[in-house]
Amino acid sequence: MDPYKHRPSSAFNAPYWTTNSGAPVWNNDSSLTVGARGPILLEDYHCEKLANFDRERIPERVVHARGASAKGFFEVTHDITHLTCADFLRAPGVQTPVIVRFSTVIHERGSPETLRDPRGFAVKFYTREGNWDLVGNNFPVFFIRDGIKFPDMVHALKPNPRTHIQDNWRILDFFSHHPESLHMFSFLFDDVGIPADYRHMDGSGVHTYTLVSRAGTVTYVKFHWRPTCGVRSLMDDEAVRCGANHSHATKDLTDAIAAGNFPEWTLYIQTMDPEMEDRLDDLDPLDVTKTWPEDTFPLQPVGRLVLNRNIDNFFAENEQLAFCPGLIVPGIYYSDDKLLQTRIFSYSDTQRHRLGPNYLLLPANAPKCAHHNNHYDGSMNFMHRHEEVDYFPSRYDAVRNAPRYPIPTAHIAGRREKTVISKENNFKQPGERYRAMDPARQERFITRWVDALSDPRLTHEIRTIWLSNWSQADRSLGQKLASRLSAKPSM
Amino acid sequence: MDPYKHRPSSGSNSSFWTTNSGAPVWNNNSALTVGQRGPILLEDYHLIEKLAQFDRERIPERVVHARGASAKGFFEVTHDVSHLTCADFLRAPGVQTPVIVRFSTVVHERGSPETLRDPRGFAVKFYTREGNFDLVGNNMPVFFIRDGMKFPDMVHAFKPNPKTNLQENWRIVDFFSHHPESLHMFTFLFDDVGIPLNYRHMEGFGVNTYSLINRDGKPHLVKFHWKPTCGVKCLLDNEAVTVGGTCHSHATKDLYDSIAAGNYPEWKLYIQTIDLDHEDKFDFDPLDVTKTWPEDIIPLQPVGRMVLNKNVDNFFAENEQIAFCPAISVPAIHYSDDKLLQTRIFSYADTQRHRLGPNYLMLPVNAPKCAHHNNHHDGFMNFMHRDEEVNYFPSRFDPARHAEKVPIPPRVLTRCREKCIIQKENNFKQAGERYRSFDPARQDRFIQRWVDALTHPRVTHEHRTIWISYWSQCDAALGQKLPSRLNLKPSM
Repeated sequence: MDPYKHRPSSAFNAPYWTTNSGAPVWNNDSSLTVGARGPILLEDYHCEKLANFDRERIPERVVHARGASAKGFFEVTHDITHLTCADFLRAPGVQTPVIVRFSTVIHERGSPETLRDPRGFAVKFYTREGNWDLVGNNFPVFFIRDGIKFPDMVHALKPNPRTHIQDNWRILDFFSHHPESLHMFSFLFDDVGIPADYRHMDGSGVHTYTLVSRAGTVTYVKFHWRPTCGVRSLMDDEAVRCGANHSHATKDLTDAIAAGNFPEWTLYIQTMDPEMEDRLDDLDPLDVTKTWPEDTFPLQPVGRLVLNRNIDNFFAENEQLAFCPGLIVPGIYYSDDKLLQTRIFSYSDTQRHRLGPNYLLLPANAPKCAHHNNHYDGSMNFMHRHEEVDYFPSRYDAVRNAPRYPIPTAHIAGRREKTVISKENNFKQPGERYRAMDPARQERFITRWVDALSDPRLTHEIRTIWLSNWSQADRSLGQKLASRLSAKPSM
Repeated sequence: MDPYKHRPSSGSNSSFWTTNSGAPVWNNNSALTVGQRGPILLEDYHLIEKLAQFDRERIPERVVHARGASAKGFFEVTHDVSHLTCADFLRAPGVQTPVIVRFSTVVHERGSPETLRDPRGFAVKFYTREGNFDLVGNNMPVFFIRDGMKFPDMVHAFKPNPKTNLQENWRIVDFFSHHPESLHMFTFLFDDVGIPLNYRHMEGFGVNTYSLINRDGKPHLVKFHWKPTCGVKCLLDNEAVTVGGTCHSHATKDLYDSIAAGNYPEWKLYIQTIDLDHEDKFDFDPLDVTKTWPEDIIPLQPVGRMVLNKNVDNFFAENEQIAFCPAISVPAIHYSDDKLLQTRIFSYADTQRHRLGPNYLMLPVNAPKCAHHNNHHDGFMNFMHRDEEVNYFPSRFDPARHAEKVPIPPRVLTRCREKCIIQKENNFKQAGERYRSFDPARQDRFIQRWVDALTHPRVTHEHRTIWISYWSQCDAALGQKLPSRLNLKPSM
């Protein structure tokens, strides 16, 4: 079941035009008309060409619609087999083919790649144990903790449903209810909110995942990508000038790889013993709005990612490329992070809508290892099958369960709850991050907030909440914002 | 069958959150977990419904004209044209018809900057008493090609490269080097009007030739023209970089803000007409969509005015789901045999069936505002209430009858099957005339844009030679300036 074998390919093109059923087309220039100037006849079946064209577009991603992809490999450089039994991490030197998709988040396909927005950083590892998708962003935290808020959050960030213009008053209204977003905003409104391109940015797995060793030992883990060429950002005025090419980051990535200047990232992990989680005063490791301080949880190198091949076709390897944090391999597991838990459902759900039920058969999404199940039929199923037993169990079919691999062993006990985690601690890390910026960078951060808070439709109440929130993160920041907004903090 | 009556509406919202089946939602903040910090339960139906709905918000964007903005208003007849057409909505001066208009760019995707060099779509849907009339045009009066058979390839050439997802001039210049009929359109696209200031300060055109038929059955060929009362204004290339770099939706915002401020955009509608008996008397073929009709021999005749005085309530319902099709016409306005228009009659409805589903014409924005009736039953997302038992025709139980006969073009069609190009091509004259009508600075900007396009490193010497030859045939001076700016010898 290797989808790359015998797939339909433009390598087998006929030397002349044909219809999709193979009929030769003797004139691809003119429609079939009554005389040279008369109306077109219905029998011009070759208008198949128009019907195909009429259906070229599929639904864009509801987030991360705009992106660019490239291919390459991941190579293990450091042994972490004491932490995980994942086959592709089994020893230094092991290489695994990957495809990566970078993206912006909020705006549509074709929107400028210079907008202030997180950037997606999604890596698909084609391992011998099936595909592993590490679907992250260029920021290490997120706006909210629970995916039940995700649709409302994206609605607030998306263009106004009436005007189709992105409005700060809608964004600041929604997030005024969510002080856990402050840390993420200390990235988004910082210089890194507009990366110079896709090569000069960090990547992060964002969530806490779980590593499981062969012995069944469980370790919490965060993943980090660091570009070897360093992180660079566009200042706001540079981003405006970049308006000359609304696809500058796609072009930069393509050109760099075509020129042999292969982008490279180093993969680091931070790890935490789950036994420790109750002993951390100010941090819940399941809280996606927090980073793990690197002095307590040092970065440990694992491997490197090199992108050395451009894609063959944008539609096949970008528009149809489907990621899902639900796709993991033995030795890497989810955590109970409530945002990650909802992503396990949503990503595949939305791809079933966009691409159809057999989207995992598409070459870019299919595993490169042997695989087997009874998921049959459905729209656009192009796999050849000849089995007569498509049910399990059967005495005619020798297929067995795969060997058991270790999963987290912790007992799960509790009542049904709809609640927020108790260690919220919304203000400490954003304050620390603000104070770590040099004064000019702080000034740019403040200017962007003053701009946002000056939206004429923002109420006094919402402004007051934001001033209060930033004051709790950093007193001087709150004072500066208030004085710049010619208002007194109402704390 | 008025879809606006009793439609589901946010006007009937409950005061608390519910699921789509109406169940009350007592907590819209947190997922249902095992304890405060445990994994989420599959039984959290509300969570799954909310995410699943969100996961399906997007539908396929239009394959062209994906990026756009809409507004509503009215069309008012100001001049009597009942000697040319018996269309009901044109029956007398003073008659008003509600309209919705969609402006757009053409090539790039939803969310692309509204400052790109591109034609702009100008599509008007008239909700008449005889059904909807869609006048689906652009801001330029001509088009690149004559036969819709070439449309998919043409758009592929303009769209981003299928490998790199970047728009590249070598692909555009390559495709059109086979199509000198495109020169006239390029004298608009590479002129200043290639980047309109916004959607208000641009003209509109029906582009194709249509037919008007009067009560006596007499046909005239007709072209439609919209002229903005506030004049035509453009962005120069450097202005476009700043405007687009600052707000990639500047034209959407301009339209919305103008209407919200009571500054209603207005266009005058003009027509040019040719008696069908005179169609052979010109040096161009009136069915040739790459030609304009000279206004000195075929004058503009005023017909009415259009005022946009209402913003849309919801962008998805009234922009993403609005569907235009040049086939949607009213009695006494008919197509012509223009081969591009003939293919558009098929393609527009076909692509909306793909995007929106088979019942897209039931959506409130697309449905007629007049009574209507047919046996088009069932299909995905059919939300019309019906109680008929007879859904076949003819029947002795159903008194519905044929409508009154409407006049259609009377000409006899007798020729053999052909796949060919019209004879009177005349590709160079009008393009040259238009270039010579530019003042020197405008000519210079036009040349500079061509120099930029032709210096793409993947444009070959053969391409450059063909293009220089083409422009020389339009205008000798232009044909000399181009190679000297390109540091090439004229090879003619």
